[in-house]
Amino acid sequence: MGKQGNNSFMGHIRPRQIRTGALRLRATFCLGGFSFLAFIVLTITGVLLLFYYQPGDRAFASLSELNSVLPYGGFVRSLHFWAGQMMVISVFMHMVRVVWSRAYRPLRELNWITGVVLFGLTVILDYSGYLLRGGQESGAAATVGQALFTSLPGGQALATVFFGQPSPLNGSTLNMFVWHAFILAGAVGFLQLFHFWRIRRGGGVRPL
Amino acid sequence: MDLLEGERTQAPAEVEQSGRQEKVPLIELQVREYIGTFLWLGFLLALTASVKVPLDSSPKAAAVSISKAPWVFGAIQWLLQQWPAWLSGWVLPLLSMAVLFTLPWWGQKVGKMWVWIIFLILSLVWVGLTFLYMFMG
Repeated sequence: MGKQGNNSFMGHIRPRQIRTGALRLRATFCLGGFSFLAFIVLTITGVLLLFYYQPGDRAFASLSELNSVLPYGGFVRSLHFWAGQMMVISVFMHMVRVVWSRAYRPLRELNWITGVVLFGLTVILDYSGYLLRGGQESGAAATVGQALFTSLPGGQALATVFFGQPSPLNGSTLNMFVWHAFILAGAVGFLQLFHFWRIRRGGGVRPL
Repeated sequence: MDLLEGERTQAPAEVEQSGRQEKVPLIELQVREYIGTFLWLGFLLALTASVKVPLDSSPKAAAVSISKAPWVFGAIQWLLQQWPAWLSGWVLPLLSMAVLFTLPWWGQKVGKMWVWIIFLILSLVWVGLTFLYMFMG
């Protein structure tokens, strides 16, 4: 980094010195940081689940084995589930705090818009994860989602791209798996880093 | 420039005056973040250990009539039971997202108090519908 330190990405994310006002916990209640922490937990547990989970027809069976046979398999799956739910809640609470403190105002519009996109993607990630459970409930949820897409003009193609060919008894497909584990998760990861960089660049060094 | 730097009052090594607010080393913030991280992880681990996440109904079991959405889509599912799909599944959610996206613009047009009221109403409606779906089906 050298002399360019404060202009670089890390310089913005982690400046050497901060204003004392940034130490107030109630400035953010750490809700953005908790969301990111949930994402880190989700990434780690998600990678662990990748070693055993099989999308498609074997989804339910692989999860069932993982849950009951593999040491700590059920724990890792539960951790992944609860981190996902807590991420949705903390992202929403973070938005409430941002609106309350009027941190959406000019110069920070792009942060706000990125945050809204992140909220939408987090909700879709939660939904796609639900479909990957591969049971009858996930099949029913996939059917509702497919029906919503096909109600649009040209929606059949979109539904196929996003859902693949799920059965009413099993919502897990390779398409949904790729969206959940790679595309959506990758987009959320990238946007979060961009979001943090923008916040720090605007001078908003606070408890994350 | 060097002369001005030389005349400046020396601040303590770890604290530098800047405008109205003092500056402190980043470690002060990091300590708070570490404490928050440990507390949050503790809560998550306690939640994971105490509330078991059940599996879905097996696809090989006898088919049961299920129309259950994950809780995050509970509000949309509830609306779908009342109104047409195009309205409940597309127009209302996308309209709500459009309001959220344009909040900074609304702030300049109608003022901060109205922005808060708009956001609060929007949030309460969606959260309320989610609870309605979760507890009343």
